[in-house]
Amino acid sequence: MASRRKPLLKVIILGDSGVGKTSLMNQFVNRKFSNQYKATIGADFLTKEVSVDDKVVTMQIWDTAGQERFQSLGVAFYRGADCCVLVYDVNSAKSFETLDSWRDEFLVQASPRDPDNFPFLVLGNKVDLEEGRRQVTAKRAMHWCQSKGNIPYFETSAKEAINVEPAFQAVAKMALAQEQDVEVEFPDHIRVDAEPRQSSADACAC
Amino acid sequence: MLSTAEFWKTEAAPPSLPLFNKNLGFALSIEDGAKALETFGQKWAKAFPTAPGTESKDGEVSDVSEAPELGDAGPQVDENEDEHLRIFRRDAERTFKLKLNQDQQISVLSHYVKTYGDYHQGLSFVVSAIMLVADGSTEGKEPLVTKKQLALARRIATALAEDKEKYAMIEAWKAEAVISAVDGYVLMEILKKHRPQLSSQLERNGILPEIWFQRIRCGLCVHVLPLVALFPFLDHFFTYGQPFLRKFTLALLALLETRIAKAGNNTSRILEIIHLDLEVMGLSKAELVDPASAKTKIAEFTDLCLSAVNSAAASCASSSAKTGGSEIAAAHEAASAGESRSNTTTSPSADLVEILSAVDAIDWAVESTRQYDLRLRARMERAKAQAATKEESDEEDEDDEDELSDDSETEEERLARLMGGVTLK
Repeated sequence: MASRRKPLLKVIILGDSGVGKTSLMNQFVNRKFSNQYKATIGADFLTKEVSVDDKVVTMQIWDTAGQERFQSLGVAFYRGADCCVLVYDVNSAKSFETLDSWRDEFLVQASPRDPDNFPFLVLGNKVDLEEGRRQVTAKRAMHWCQSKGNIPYFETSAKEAINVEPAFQAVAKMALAQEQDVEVEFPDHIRVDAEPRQSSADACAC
Repeated sequence: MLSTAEFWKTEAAPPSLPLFNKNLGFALSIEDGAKALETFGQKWAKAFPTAPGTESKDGEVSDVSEAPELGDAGPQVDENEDEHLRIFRRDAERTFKLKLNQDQQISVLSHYVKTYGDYHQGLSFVVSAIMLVADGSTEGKEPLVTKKQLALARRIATALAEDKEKYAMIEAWKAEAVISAVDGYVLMEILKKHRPQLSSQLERNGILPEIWFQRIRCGLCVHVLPLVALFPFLDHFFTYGQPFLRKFTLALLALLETRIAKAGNNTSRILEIIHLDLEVMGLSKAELVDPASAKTKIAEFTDLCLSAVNSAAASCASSSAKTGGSEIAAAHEAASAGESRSNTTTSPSADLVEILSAVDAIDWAVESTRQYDLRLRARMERAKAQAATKEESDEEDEDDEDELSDDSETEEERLARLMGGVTLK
């Protein structure tokens, strides 16, 4: 087993149940989509090696349960996060309105050293659904992101692989800027996925 | 459901339901389904008493206001008005293909929330598993779900919630299921004493109970175990309650110890092993597509799961014999008389006996209170430190002070409120 120093970027994905957190993670890491994912209970994570400015880093992406709450005892695995991805469903106003509480809860639980400058990123998912179902406009979402310190915003579809790759590349870049190198022992057989396919849709970075 | 031809033509047709993701060809036929119904569905229908005033003796639901007529569209979900209904719909869509069946599952979940006021998605997992083995014979015609199935699922969910000492599921089926984290940490204390290397490896890699234990404690292993082991697991849990669940967890970790040790510090791999992900259990993608080519490996996987289930059950049976057993356990045993049982009498291997006995040796209430206090204190300390940091930051930036409201709740106050006014010193 080889041992080497490598940046490990810990990323937490938060958002209401059913907004597509598991699907986004699987689309990014495994480049596949299924509408048969069961609800996430507890937490899960996948790892993926990515290049950021010619530097190879390992992203450890944590998929969380959107319905569970652990306010009283805290969520220990939030700690040490280098970036937090907030996900909502553009077809559900409620899922957008809870972004505030997800952000606040993360800051309380993760206790980052500099909460005012901790890197967040917002994904408005399920843009593949028909236009008539949309309940949150991009303008409204971008306004919220601006009010929280210019959080980058992407509109995505995990199903159609729209903007997933650019969004997570942005996550990696922000996380790398945040992280401090940690000593991690990686086994030789760690899964290294092929280059993900490029998405064609536009990203909104406000 | 499993015993109806229509189920196999519709719900069970490819692509497979998430409930079947780990079954790979075993326990997946109408014959196996009928056997499961006979072994478990009928037994559970006898073992769980009918709730007075809501169901008739044959298990039919008499309160139609709580159980919609079969074929009804079910509750209409306004996602922006009822968060529970929104989640029920999402969960049902991820469980069954037919809207009719989704609606029936939602009716059981709605009844539970109306009664107990809270919800955890583990409940939807458990309800769907019970619906599979409840008697749904419709002679091949729709609807696939009958009122008997709804009655059984509702009856069992109610019984598991109502018996707070034996099952304590009312605490586990909450959005904030503190009990699952606390119970998990108590189990980790036992592991630390009896399997120090394994415990150290999990701790070193950040594999904390709140990451994985909910799947066992709140989801009762639905989506963790293959059906062939899941139904015996549920059966023993219904019989023995929490001690079985705790012993099963320790047995599973002990049986996975060698695999976990080989994973070293590959955190992702360790978590996949604990989740019993099939690829990590030695089954390749090709074998998952064609299970017939991997009968031996599948048998090994199944045996491992059943070994954990049966070891825990045998330990519970041994403990129960020493204490004289409970009336409910006796009722379950009576209900199963004459029926084929899984290998409940299989004794745990010698190296498992000690760690499983440790569950009986500790005062769970005392230990769980201690673990709870430890974590609450740590949480309060973090909140205080964060508040101090924020205060310093605010003093440096006068603009920020304007944003602070005099009547806003501090983190410490919020925690105290959440804990019912308890303040730790």
